[in-house]
Amino acid sequence: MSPAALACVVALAWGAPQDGYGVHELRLEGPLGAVVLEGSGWRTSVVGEVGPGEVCTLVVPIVAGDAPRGAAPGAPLLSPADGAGDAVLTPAIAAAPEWDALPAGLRRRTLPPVAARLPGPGAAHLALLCAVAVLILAAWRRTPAALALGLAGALACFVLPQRPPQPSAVEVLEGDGASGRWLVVRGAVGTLELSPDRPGWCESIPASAKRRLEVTLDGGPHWALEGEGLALYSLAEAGRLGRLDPERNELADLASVWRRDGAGRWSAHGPWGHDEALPAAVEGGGEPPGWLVSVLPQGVGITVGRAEAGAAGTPRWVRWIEGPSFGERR
Amino acid sequence: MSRSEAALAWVLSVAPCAAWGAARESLGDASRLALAAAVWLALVGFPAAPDPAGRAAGAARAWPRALGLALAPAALAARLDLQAGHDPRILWVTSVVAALLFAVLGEARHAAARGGGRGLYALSWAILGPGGLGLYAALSWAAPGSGEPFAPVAWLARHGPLGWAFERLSVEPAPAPWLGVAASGAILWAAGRIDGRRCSSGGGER
Repeated sequence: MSPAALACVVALAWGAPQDGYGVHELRLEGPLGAVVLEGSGWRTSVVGEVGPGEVCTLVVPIVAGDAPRGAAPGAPLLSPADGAGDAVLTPAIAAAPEWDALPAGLRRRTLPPVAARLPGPGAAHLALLCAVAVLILAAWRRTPAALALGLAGALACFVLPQRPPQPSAVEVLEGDGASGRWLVVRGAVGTLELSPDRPGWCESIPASAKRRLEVTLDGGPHWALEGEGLALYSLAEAGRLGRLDPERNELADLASVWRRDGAGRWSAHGPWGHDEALPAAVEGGGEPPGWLVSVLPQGVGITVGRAEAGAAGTPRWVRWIEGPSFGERR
Repeated sequence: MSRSEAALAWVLSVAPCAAWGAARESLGDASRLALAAAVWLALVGFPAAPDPAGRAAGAARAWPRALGLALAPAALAARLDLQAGHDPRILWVTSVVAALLFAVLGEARHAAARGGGRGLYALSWAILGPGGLGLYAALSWAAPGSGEPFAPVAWLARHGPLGWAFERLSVEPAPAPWLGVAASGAILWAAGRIDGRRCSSGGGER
C-alpha cells in the first residue's frame, strides 16, 4: 500500500466526521405552504400549512458548516418555497456540537448496520398468480388465450398494491470508560424520528442529495431525518448514565451480556441486572452481532449487551469500553 | 413443452418469490427476475424426447403458451427486484433478452422435435447449456488456485443462455457479452433447424 493510500485510510477511519446540527428559532408568517432551509449537506424542510395572518414560531434543526451560496457566513439560506408569507430565522439558540470534542473512544465506534426489511408478495399477488396459472394450464392448447392471460396477470402484478417495507431500526448506547460519557446512536432506513429541541449529529449512508431534516407542523412539531432508501443515523450525547464495569452495572437491566477481557477472551454472561455485579460466564450464551464486536481497541476490557427492546420492538444494544482506547494512552 | 414441464417451471420460478423471507436469507438481493429467467430458459430449451406417435398430431408450438405462463411470475419477480433497489434499465434488458432467448430456444426445440429430437440440437444444448456450466463449475471447484478454468469452457459457460441468466443475478451485473450470447442463441437455433430438416415427414411436439 502506498503512503498516500495509507494516509487516506487513516483519515477515513479516524476523522469520520458526523454532520452536527444546531437548533434555531424560526418565525413563520402565513400564508406559507412549505419552507426549505439549505444547510450544509442537509436541507431542513418545514412541512405544514401556516394560514394567512397566522404567526407561528418553532424550533428547527439546521446542519452547520460552510455558508451556502448567497447566505451570510454561517447563516443558512431561507427560501419560502410556497406561499406569500414571511419566514425569519434567528441565530442558533443551541450551536451544533463539535464532533471532535467527543472522547476519541466514542468517535471511533462502528455504526450499526440497518437495512429495510422488504416485504414479500402479498396473498393477493400469490392468489392472482395461481389463478392465472390454473386458467392457462386448463386451456393449454389455446395459445392466444394463454398469452392474453399471462399478459393480464403480469400487468396486474404491477397494479396490485405492494405491502410497505417493514420499519427497521436499531439503537446503540456507546459508553466510554475513560470519560464516563455515553452516546446514543440510532439508525433506521428511510425515516428516523429525532428528539426535538436538542442539537446532535446526523449521518446518512450513502451521502445523498435526497437526505433532509424534516420538521412537521401538524400535531407537533416533530423532527425526523428523511431520505428514501438511505440508512439514516442520529447521534446525541446522553451524558453520564453510569458505568458498566464488572463490579457493578450502573446503567440498566440487560437481557444478554458478553464481555471481552484485556487478553482478548470473550465470554457470555447471560442477563445482568441493574446495580448487580457481572454474573459468572455461562455456556451456550449465544454470540453478539458481528458489527458490535468489530473494530474494537485491543488490550482493554469491553462489555457488550442487549437491552430490553425499545418502542415498536426496536433492538437496543450497549457497548462499553472500560479503559482508554488505543491512541488515547498518555 | 408439455403441460407438466410448464407447471414445473412455473412452480420453480414462483418459489423464490413466494418464500420471500426464507429465500432472502440465502439469495440476498440476487435478481429474482434473472432466477426466473434461468429456470424458464432451462426448461424451454431442454431437448424434447422423441415421440414418433405424436408427430402426426398437432404441430402447434408450445413455447408461446409457456411464455404466457411465465409472464406473471416474471412480472412479480421484476416488481420485487425493483423494490429491492435493482436498476429498472437492467431489469428491462434482462426481460427483453430473456424473452428473445425464450423464443429462440422454444423455436429451436420445436424444430428439433419435428426431426425426432436428440440430434444436433440436443448436443448443442448440452454443450452451451447445462454441460458447459456444469463443467465450468466443476473445474472452478477443482482448481487448486484462483486461476480461470480452461478458456473455451469459461467461454461456453458465460455465453450460453443459462450462463447469461446467471450472470444477471447480480444487483449490478457486468456488461453482458452480447455478441457471444447472440452467437450461442444462433447456434442453438440453427441446430434445431438442421435437426428439423433431417426429417421431411414433419410431426409435432407434445
